[in-house]
Amino acid sequence: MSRDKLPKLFDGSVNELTRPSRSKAGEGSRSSLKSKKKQKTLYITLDMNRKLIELYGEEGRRQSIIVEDAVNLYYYLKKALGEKKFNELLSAVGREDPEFLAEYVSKLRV
Amino acid sequence: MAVVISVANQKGGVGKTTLTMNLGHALASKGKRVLLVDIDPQFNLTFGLIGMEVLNYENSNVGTLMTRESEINDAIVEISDDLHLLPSHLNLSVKEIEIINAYNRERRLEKALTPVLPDYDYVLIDNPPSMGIFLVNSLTASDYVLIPLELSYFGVIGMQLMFNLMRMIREETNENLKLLGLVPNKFTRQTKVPKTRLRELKEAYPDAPILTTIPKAIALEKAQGKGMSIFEFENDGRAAKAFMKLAGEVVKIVEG
Repeated sequence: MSRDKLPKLFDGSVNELTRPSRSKAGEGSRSSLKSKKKQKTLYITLDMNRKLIELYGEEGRRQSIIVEDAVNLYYYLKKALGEKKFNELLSAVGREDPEFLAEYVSKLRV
Repeated sequence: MAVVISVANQKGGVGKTTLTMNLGHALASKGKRVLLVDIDPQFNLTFGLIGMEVLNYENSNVGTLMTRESEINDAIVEISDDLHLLPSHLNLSVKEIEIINAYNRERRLEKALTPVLPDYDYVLIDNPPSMGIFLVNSLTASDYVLIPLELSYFGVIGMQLMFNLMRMIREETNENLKLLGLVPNKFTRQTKVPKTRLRELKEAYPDAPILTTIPKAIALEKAQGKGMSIFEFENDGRAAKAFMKLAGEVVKIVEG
């Protein structure tokens, strides 16, 4: 490609960039877009976001370490338990009931 | 409440630091309260303003703020009454890995700056050229983008990459981000190239808001070498006048 002529790499309107993005129709749809965007940015649900904030507060630790712990737990438990039992454990966790989980784990046999 | 302006271009060496520093001084001389934020791991702005004192800010700089290991008021350095600096540090590139893994990683700078925004009229952020977590944080925290532009082949390419990045940021994390303008920098009539590129740019983007042109001037390099603004080094020179004119334009656009 010749370098004499500048290639055009932006196909939008520069004038548009000088103004705020057009808001989407209606206030209701804007708020739902906002929550969708938040999830997209964090890659986690709002409920998970709340739990993370609580964890960081309680643990007083760096956030990246908590995320690493979570990944390690997931990775090694899956290896240790095998696919079937691990999925069973995840279902038990999914009930979001600490007492049920404690009972389940006490009976868990590898 | 401060207006936050990112000085950004995805090409290195176009004069982002020079523009941030001298525009900051010019705005301060107009009576505006200005905070300069250095979010470039190369910390040229910080070094230009406080020299080796940068070593004292290992535990309180823009990186430790973003990892929430320090408080913003401990990190701010007073350059003059109306001009303050939030410094960068050598360890900023190490922090990048931590921030990438952290929750709400795109909004770390925005959250860190929020408590001090009422104390300033303008916050100017000097950015790294690479499209990474720091540039994304900066654009997410900003109201405006100011693009210094070297009128060369790759300079104009870098500007177009910035347009695309701005569009992405407006869709993903900051719908209120706006283009403040393009600042042709290092302009010289010694060759025809800058004039030709400027003409091509105007043809390709007739709507582009082109602000004051900053001339190529030895005084700017000398001033930087001495850790001075152009106003302290050569207050009546062409470059100083251009920066004052640019500051006036910025105030007019932002404040109306």
